[in-house]
This record gives sequence, structure tokens and C-alpha cells, in this order.
Amino acid sequence: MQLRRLTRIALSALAATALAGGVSAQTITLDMPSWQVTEPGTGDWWRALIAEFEEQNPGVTIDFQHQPLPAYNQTMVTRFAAGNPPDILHLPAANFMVYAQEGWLSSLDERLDALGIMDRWTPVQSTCEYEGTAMCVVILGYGDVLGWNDAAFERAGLSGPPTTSEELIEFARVLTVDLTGNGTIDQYGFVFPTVTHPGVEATATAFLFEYGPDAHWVNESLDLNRDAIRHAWTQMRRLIEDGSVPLGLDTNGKRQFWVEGRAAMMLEGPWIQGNINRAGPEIQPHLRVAQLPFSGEVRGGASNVLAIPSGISADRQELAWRFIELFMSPEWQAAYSTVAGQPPARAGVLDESFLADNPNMREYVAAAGVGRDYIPRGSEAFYTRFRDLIIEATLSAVVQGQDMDATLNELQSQIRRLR
Amino acid sequence: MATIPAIPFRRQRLRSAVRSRLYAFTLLAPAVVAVLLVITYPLIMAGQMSLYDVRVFRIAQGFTGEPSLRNYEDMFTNPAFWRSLRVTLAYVALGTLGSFIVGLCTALLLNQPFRGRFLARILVVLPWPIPGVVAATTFMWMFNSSFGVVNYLLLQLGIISRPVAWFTDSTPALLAVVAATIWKGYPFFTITLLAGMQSIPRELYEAARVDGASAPKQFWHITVPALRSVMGVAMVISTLWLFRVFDIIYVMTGGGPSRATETLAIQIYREAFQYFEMGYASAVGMVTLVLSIVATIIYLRVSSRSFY
Repeated sequence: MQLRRLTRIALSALAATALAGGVSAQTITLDMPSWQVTEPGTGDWWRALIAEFEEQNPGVTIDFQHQPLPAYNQTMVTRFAAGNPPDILHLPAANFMVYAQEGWLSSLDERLDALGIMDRWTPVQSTCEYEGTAMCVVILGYGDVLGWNDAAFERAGLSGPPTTSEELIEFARVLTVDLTGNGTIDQYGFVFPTVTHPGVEATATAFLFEYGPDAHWVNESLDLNRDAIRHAWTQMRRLIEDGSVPLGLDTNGKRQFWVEGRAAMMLEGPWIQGNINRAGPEIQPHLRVAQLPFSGEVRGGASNVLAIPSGISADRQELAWRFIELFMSPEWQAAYSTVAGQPPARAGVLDESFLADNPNMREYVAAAGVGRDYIPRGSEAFYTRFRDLIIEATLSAVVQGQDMDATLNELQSQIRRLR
Repeated sequence: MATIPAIPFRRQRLRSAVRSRLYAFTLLAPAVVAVLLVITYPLIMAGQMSLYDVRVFRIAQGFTGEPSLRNYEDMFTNPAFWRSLRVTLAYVALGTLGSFIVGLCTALLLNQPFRGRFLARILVVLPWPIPGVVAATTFMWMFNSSFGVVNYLLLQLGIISRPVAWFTDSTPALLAVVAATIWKGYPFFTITLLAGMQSIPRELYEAARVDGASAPKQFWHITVPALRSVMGVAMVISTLWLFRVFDIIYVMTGGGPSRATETLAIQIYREAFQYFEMGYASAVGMVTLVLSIVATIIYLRVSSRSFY
């Protein structure tokens, strides 16, 4: 009798173990690295989206791991090269082309066509195309905005933000002041990075786009657009020569200067909202955004994208697509603005009352609508190297005051060497 | 009296010698294997890689195509390489010389008897164990053009009339990086030179004093010649160290502005891990290796003459 009872217990235990094993075998964990895990707002939005996905897909979890941005691309490239890609690929848009060229990404054409919403998606979705095929979905399409401090403007007797680059230079001169009278500048009129940093290229491109509707660094044959570049460098150099710009700052320093009220204006993407949100209570109400004060086009483009690696199983690809589909839904696109504070890639998901209560969001949405891609056509495959050359040349011509023609010749010869 | 036959004895001695050699080789074997694995294999790989168009993306496919000197050709015709080479030579020369001078001065000071010498010795060698990244970050803030202590002091002393933008101009940026390098590197010279000074026989100085030699004469005719071999070895080690310094430069300037502080080590990193051109990066690495070997030979030749 006791033996039979023991046998029954043992069988029950075995069955329970098998069942548990069966359940755990059905649990699928999708791997999704990102540099935005710890970002306030955006990170919260990702976690909420993931929680919703996991609720809609029982037995599927997403391992949302943090990978720092400076080494992010290297980590992803190494993983792909080693045959161990993540299941959901989150990428800075500037790095997308390398992955597409290597055949590491799945085509999304059929899936996107079936969804039928691409006419409402951001125009910079074209960034995701490789040889006519959509290989990713743009998460954030943006245009740069001008951050300005209305208290500084009021003190200087200026009624509002500049509307042309000439005005910007003039206002910056007026706004550069020694407030305490101790001989040092306490407030600069304008701030941009002046050390080796991607922000140098961003600022120069913003000035360059003012030159004309088709102005970019190079044409598709990689010939420099010398007149447009000279215009951009001249305007930036004038700001430096006027003493309106603090020297020696990188992009983080630039943001810090503006947030602390030590600089009255700066150019930035919509992520400027994160800086405004963490400003001190005495200065936060004075930090405002406006459209870029340039008559031409607005520097912008795709910030980051989602893609599905081709090297994972069909089941996992399907689950990754379900996640992207959820991300593209109107609810989660609206939440991208309400939670992450960024303009949505999908048009028409924000209601008028939300925009009325959030004037900055209105500016971000407007800028995103007119933003032009900062990556020149023809340079996508080696954009990182191309950008580094632009940064070096801009620092030489603008900050170090080197001869512009000589710098342009050197830049052209370096660009010709790109492989 | 019986004599021991010569042949068996010789055979026995031979057997014993073989056994002891075998024993020695057995003991050395793990170290030899480790050296082959850790140093020689990567070196051969780097040499091989420098002959191919290797990109990280396709590294799993191994070396494809025919080996060629294309990477070397690209490198030697690239102005960026020559600029990096010039920067490297300037950086290594200034860094080694600066560290040597500061190290020699502090070693001479610490070799004198005075109260608190023990504490002074600890303080002087403190920069040595501090990680390069920490040192670089500290110097980055010290040289900050807006709120750095260096500009503040220079302004207060009236040496400059307006703040120097240390990291936006080529020469100041290189000087700032070299300053951090000297601070990080001089304790090595202090320790080695101090050890060398303490091994110089006191009698030499006493005899020189009896002959009426002044302190500078004692320094030039006893201390410097006696330290020559120590200086040579320390210089070699410091030079090799500076050839491969990455953290200090990368954290402080990232190789900028406009490549003014881009040494060969920084260029190798950028080519390999930012642009994923492993073949080209390996070619630059091989040139760096050759330069290091040449520098080592020159130093050792110069310092090989013995004083005693």
C-alpha cells in the first residue's frame, strides 16, 4: 500500500517536472539590446511597450539589455560577424547601411505593404531602403530645433528668437555678456561643440542646409559642394570670431551650458526635451524651443531604427515583426510622444488638445515634417568615416581659422580615398 | 688501484646532462607555450591580416583573395598616416623626455635625507597606480577652457590674458595630452632611477668631494654615467609604453582636434573598431612594431656601455 503511494507521488513529481519543463521549453526570450534602456522617458516607453507585447504574447519575453552607445555599433557588428545576432535589432540610423549591405537584415517590404500605413509614416523612412527594399522601420524621424532662453532674450531687450542666420549671429553677439562685471563672460549667445565630436558635423550641416534646397556636403559622385560649405563655415567662424561661442566644449558640455543658462541659444534635435526636463526649477520655465532660424531646409533625418536580422529563425522573425507591428500602432506611436517626449513617426496620432498643452511637441512635430536627411546620398556605406572627415575639416576651418580653400582641397582628397 | 672506465663515466655524464636539460625544458615549456600563444600567434595573425582586405563583417570567412601589399601602399600614400606618425614621434619624445626629467628631479630629491622622506616617496609615486582613464578625466577638467584650474592659474599669474582653448587648437591639445602623460609616467622613472642611485657606491662621491668636485660635477661625472644603463632600460620601457598609450589620449581628445593628437595607437583603434578595416589597422600595427623595435635597439646600444 505504502509502495503504491510512494510510486504515485513519484509519478506525480515526474509529471509535474515534465510539465514545468514543457512550459519552460515553450517560453521564448527575444534578445533586444539598446542604448536607450536607461534614458528617462524613452527607456520608460520601451519598457511599457515590451510589457504590452509580453502580455499580448504569452510565453514570449523580451530581454531588453543596455549597451552603451559609444561601443554599440562595434558590439552589434561583432555579434553579427560571429553569427550571434540579436532577435530585434535597434540601431542608430547612421549605421543601418552597413548591416543592409552585408545581407544581415530581412526585407520588410511584404510585411509593411500588408500593414498599409507607410503613407502615414515619416518621410525619412527612405533611409531604411537598400536597393529599393525596406530593411528597417524608422523609430524617430526628426528635424533640428533652436533652443533659446527667453529670460536671456528679455534681459537683452530682444523680443523673440532669430529667424535668419544673420539675426542669429547678431543676437548671439548681443546675448554674450559679462553679467557680474568681473571681466569674464557669464553668458554666451550661442553654443556648439568645438572639439572632436559628432555635434560639430550636426551644427555645420544645419548651417549648410541654409544655402539652398539641394545643398549638401557632396553630390552623389562625392564632389564637395564648395560654395555651400564655405557659407556654413563662414557663418560659424563669424560666431567664433565675435566671441559669442564658448570654446572647448563637446555636445554634452554644450547642453549643460544651455541648461544652466550660460548660453542663450543652441541647435538640437527633439531630444532637447530631456535637457529641458532636467533643468533646475529656476531656469526650466525659460528654456524654450523654436524652428531653426534658417531660410533653407532643416537638418534632420532618421535618428534610430528597428530591423529584423536575417540570421534568426522564421519563428523568431515573426515574433520580432509582431513587436514592430505593435510599435507602429497608433496607441504606441502616441505614447512615444506622451511618455518618451519625442515626435511620433506615424502622422495623425496626436490630438490637438495634447499639442495645445505641449507647445514644444508642436515644434518638434513641425520640424520633423520638414527635416532633410543629414546623410548625403552616396556616403551611406562609409558614413562614420565621412562624418569624421567633416568634423576634422570643420574644426580646422572654423575653430582653428585655417584657410578654407586649402581645407576643402584636403577634405576632397580624403573623401576620394574612401573605400 | 682500480680505474673507472672512461667511456661509461662519459656516458653517465652525458645522460645526466641530457636529463637536466630535459628537466629545464620541461619547466620552461609552459612559459614558452604561453608566449607562443599570447604573443607570437597574434603577431603572426596581425602580419598575415595586414596582407589582406580583412573587414570585421566577414571575419568568419577567414582571409579571402590574394595576399598583397595594398594596405601598406594605402598607408604610405595616406597623408593621415604620416601626420599620425609625426604626432606619435612628437608625443613619445615629449612624453618620455618630460617624464624622465621630472622623474630624475624627484629621484634626486628623494635620494637626499630629509624629514618626511618616507611620506614624500609615497606621494611622488601616487600617480603610477592611478588608472589612465581617471588621470585623463582629471586632466580634461583641469584643462577645460571655461572652468579649468590651469587657465585660472595662468590668468591669475598674468601669463595669459584670455583663457586658452586647450582642446580646440592643435599645439595646446598635444601639450595638454603630454602633460597628463608625464604626470602618469614620471613615477616609473623616479622609482627606477632612485633604485639605481642607491646602488652607486658612496665612496665614489666621498672621493670626488675629497678631490674638490662640486655637486653638479658629481652629478655629471658619477651619477649620470652610473645610471646610464638604468636610464636606457627605463627609456626603452617608457618609449614602448608611450607607443601604445590609448586611454589618456582617447579620453582627453579622441585624437582631435583635426587629428592633432591622433597617434598611431589611436589610428589603429579607429581603423579597426570604428571603421572595421582590420587589414589596414594591422598594417599600421606592424609599422608601429617596427618603430618600437628600432627605438629599443637605439636605446640599448646607447646605454649598453658599463660604468663599472
